[in-house]
Amino acid sequence: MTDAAVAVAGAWTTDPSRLPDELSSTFRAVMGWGGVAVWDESVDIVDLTREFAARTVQECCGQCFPCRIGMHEVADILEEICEGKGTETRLARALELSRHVAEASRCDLGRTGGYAVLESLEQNHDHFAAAVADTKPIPRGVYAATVVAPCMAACPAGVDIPAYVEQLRIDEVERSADAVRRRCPMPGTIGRVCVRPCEDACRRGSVDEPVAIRTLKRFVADSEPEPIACPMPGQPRVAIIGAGPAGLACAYYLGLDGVTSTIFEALPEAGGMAAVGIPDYRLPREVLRSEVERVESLGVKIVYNFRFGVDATMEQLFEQGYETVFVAVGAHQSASMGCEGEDAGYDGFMPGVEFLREIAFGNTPLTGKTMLVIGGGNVAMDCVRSARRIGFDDVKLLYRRTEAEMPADPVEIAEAKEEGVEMVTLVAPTKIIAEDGKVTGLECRRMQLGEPDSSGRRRPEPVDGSEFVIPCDCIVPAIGQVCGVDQLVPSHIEVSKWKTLEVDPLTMQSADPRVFGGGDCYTGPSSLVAALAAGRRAAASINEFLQDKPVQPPLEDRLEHAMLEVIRTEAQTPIPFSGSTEKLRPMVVPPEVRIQCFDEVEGPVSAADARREAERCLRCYRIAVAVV
Amino acid sequence: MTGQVKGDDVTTDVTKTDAPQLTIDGRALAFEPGQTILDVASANSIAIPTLCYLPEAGHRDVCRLCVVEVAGAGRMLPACSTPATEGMDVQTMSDRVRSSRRSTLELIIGSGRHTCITCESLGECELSRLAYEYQVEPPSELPGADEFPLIEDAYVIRDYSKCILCGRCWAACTAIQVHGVVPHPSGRRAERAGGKDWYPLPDLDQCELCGQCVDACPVGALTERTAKGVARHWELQRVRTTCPHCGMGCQTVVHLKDGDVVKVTGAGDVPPNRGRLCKRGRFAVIEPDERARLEDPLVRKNGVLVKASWDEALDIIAEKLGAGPDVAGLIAPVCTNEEAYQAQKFFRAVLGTNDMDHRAADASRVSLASAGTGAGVCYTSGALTVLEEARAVLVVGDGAVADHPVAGTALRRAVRDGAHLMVLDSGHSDLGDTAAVHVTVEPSAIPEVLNGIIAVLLANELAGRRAAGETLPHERELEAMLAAVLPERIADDAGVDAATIRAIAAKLVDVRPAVVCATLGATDDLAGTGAAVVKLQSLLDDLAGARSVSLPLGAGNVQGLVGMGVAPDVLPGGDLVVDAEARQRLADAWGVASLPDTPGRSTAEILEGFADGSLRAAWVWANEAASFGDAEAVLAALDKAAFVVVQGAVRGDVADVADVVLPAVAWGEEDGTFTNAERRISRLRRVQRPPGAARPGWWAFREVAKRLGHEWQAGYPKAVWEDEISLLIPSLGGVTYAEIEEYGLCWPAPAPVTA
Repeated sequence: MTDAAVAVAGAWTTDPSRLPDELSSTFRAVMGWGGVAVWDESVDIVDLTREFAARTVQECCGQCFPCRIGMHEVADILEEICEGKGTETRLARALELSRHVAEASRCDLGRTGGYAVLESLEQNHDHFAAAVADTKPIPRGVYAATVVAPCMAACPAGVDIPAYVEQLRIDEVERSADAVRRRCPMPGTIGRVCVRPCEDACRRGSVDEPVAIRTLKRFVADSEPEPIACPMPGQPRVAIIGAGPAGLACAYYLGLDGVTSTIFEALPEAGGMAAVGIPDYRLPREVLRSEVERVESLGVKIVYNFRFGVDATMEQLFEQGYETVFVAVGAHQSASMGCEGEDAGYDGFMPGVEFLREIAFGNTPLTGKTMLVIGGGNVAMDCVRSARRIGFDDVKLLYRRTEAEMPADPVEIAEAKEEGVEMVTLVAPTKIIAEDGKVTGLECRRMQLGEPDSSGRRRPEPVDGSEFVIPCDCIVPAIGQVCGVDQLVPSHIEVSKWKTLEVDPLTMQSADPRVFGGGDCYTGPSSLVAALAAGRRAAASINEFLQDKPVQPPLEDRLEHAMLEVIRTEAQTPIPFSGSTEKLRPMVVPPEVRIQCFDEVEGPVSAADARREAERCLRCYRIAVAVV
Repeated sequence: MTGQVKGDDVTTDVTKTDAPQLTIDGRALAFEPGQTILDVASANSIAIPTLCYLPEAGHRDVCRLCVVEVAGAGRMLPACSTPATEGMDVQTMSDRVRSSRRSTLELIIGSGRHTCITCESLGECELSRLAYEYQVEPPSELPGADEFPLIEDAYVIRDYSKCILCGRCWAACTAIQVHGVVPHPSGRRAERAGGKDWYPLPDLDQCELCGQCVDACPVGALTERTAKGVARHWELQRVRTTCPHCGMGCQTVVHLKDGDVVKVTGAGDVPPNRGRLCKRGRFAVIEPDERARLEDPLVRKNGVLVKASWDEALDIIAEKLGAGPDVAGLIAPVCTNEEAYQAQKFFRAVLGTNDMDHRAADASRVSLASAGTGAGVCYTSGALTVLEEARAVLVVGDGAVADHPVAGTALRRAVRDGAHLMVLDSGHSDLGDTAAVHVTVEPSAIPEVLNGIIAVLLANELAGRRAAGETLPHERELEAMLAAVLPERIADDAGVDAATIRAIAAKLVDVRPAVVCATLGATDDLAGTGAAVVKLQSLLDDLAGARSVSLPLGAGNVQGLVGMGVAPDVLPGGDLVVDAEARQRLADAWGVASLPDTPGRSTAEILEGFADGSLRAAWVWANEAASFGDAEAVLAALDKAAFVVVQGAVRGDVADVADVVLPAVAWGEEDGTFTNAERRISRLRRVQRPPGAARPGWWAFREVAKRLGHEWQAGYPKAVWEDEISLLIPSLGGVTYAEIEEYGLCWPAPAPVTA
């Protein structure tokens, strides 16, 4: 009896409706690690199995013997059968081999692939026997295939993590970089500040600790040689508004496809929130600059200090010769706290986003002894830690829930505390106290946790009569950003009630076919890597638009999108062994040293560290093949 | 990555109740946390087959032959990479496991041309052994030979029709020798150009021919050309011996058929080289020396060298040498310890002179003396391991890689593992690509740079002590002395940035473990370098517990010759010639009244002695004059001597100035011992008969001694060693051949070895 590698093996076959509607509406059948889901009975299961085996062979890493040799032979046998040259003996051999591949392969690709073929051969024996008996070739179908993994599913950009980690395991750093760059054009940045949902989903975590996916990406970026400029001739065809991650990614992928673009940026520097929102001690400016240079090396020109709608309107850009516009202006406005006095313009009050931006430009925007930062996300952590570095001795972070519920990266929270930041929880601001127009304190009241809200977190409720005042010199709200894209785009471009762009979620195209949008200005404030993903998708769509092709994501992308969703929602099989290895953690500068300046806190890792860490990856690849 | 060195066996005493336990095939076994199932099985003599496993390279989990059943796991797990956990219940021979092995073997054998009948590796091929055990037949139709790449050259035959793509050659090249010329056999089919592109074809332009891949190949895909069709595995006689080509003293195995050398391989995981060789050690056997072997004694008559009998030759030598004391010896490191011992005994006890040397004319006197006595130059046993485990290494000199390629592998492995390599050379070290810091200066500037580093270390130490409140005598004087050699002062002269020198010093104390590796190569021509290196090594040992490795220049048994006293100022065992007590002890043992008490002439002085006539005769044991310096100058000096005996294995240029030529044995033609850079004494074994009338050098000295009235008892190398050398040198503790059979012995030995 062959134990399936995944808990859901066979589940799709018995109950195809558990798969997302997107699949059944786009494809006729899907074969993968959960079995075969068929929505159109005219699908030829024999040919589908043949294609599945062939694709598995193509994706195989070519190392372990069972999959490399065994699956290849299975694919050959199925090919023979579909050509009308099959025999009973060979069919029996395929069964035997696919069982062996399922049992003995090194990674989930071989295990799940072998099991899927085995199950298909067993359950559809009659069909296969008939195909063997028949000497007529079976007409070949049209298929789409995708390879996914739990970590890839968690990544908004769908970076092929097992691929780049595997290349590091065998010392192929350049190939690793290639694998990263297929989906992520800013590995130096992401490798330092990504929120890394991939690591939360990493199945190694159930063995001992997750793989240090983010640190490995940083290593790859640190090892890359300088980019070589290859400017492209021709008039730029695409205008990109915003040189943040979404805009840069869009320009990068367009550039790789030979399409020149110009990026128009409001600030004097590129990088968007990565430049002016993330302090240098997390993301050194040189790293970001070199990533911007790499984009520029593809022939992209960046125009700085450009006020969209003022220096040129969208229509004017079209008149200048641009054929499309990609709006990627981000979300830079600070959300309001709902606290009395926050709009009064007091001296000592500054929204967190502005505070960080000023520091990024080398200014010291606030001085004093005591600063209160309101918020619990990464921006709030950036504010408190930056405050400690510019001379504030007493920095308190005020959050209305408990520390356990803070959305910030736990490492950021821990490092902030090490740096002497005091966390004041279950407290919310009510009124700013000021004298002569200058902040002197903040009136707050205590909160308690009530019933859970729609996100599942317990809703904080004020405790009546619990008001008290915290004396302070400065108040910095950092409770989130909001979009204000309505102020920037022409009126005919649709804007949601949250003042975000309305575009197709897969193609990033708006109702005006020439206009595309993505990143924070579309989703609302989200992660850096999600913005990169949006930029890439937009580039693909724009490319099609420029070639007068219908703008729609290729079938492979749609299949990938759906299968990533499937993995996200599926139960994961427990891994049948335990380990005691530790995740690679880079050296960190001690707190008393690092608060003296904005030098990078996290240190690099060596090639040897990276290699050892890469060996921990379990390669949880699965493959799905859909019938078009 | 270091593999397990023999002697580090895991304790598997099941009676230890606190050790975690698992069960394999019903046997309860204790294990150490961190071990894999395979580790535990191997330590307990439970065989689990593997084909791809190469632990010293960290390579595993490709062949999937080692999958075993683990209760509760559902799927079978690979023993090589699954950690052992408490309470695990493992089955290695169940039907399911055997069936899986059989299937994998069928896949391998069915996808290549495993034509065992003509294969070189039959008998030592793991795949054929497993095929036999599991009775897996080759397919009735083999794929065509042209479907696989085949690359042949004078050294290695690479027949990829037998390659199973286990990746061991890649691992050996990448992680053991760290050359990186073999590509990894993997990749999505979409990215590989064609079928042949899957194979790990090395970049032959970059290949160093170390042969590690050949050793690593578990099947017959990579084999030595010299072995093709010559002998089956079971027809070969295997003799373990020591390679003579450099000071590493690598342990090798010579494979012979009917007395002819077929190939040379590593000797497994034994020190010092732990299975690694270089091109010279592995393939020299197939590169014949173009020079003719000396097979008969020759005597110069009427200006021409003619064949003579041994008796005639020896009689002439005895007569000429015995005529007076102004005789000198030039002994190149081409001989064993026993032969060297006999040579110096001849000069001291029979001729009554200390005028003998083994080094080139321009070699440093200081480094020799301190090396001989052991004072100063720090020796470390397990040099390769010390280098590999270092996290900061300073290599001084040019000879590390060029002269000792196997030491180079240790340095590259250390760097691969994250070590910080700093090199101070005169431009020929071949480590430039690997080093993080590479300082190249004129040879004369190397001692200056070293002194600069020493000055920084001492100055920092002084400052530290002062800050801790200590007052030191002569503090001011010391500071003034240091100030004169601090990096900022010497930087311009030396041609190095002061900050660089300080950075090197900082790394050596901040990073542990740190190692200073001295390769007294091209820089050995100045006394300053040797002394400075010694000082630095001692200082770092004190300050930071840093280890030292010294790789002395010179082919072969340099260390042995030093140890045996083939030097003007050092007696066997390291005592100085001027030490009266040591002299007397030897005199008594050798049956003479006394030994000459003043240090003799060095090579340079010997050559001068011939030039100015103060020396009359010479016994030169070398194959070529260049062993002692500039060949022309050496030959010119020797030409002025009244009588020259030349003893050598081949007819080199030095024979041209000889009056008597004695044919010596070459490596492999006589038993003996060899001392390497770690002062490890290892066994050289006789594998072939010497040609013609060639005789070992120790015998020639004995015969001449006899003719001069000295009867030397010991009649064969073992006797020379066990009855004389090992007993006369206290620090050897009477060690016997048997005791140094497997791992050799690092000198000084511990207190007397009990039988």
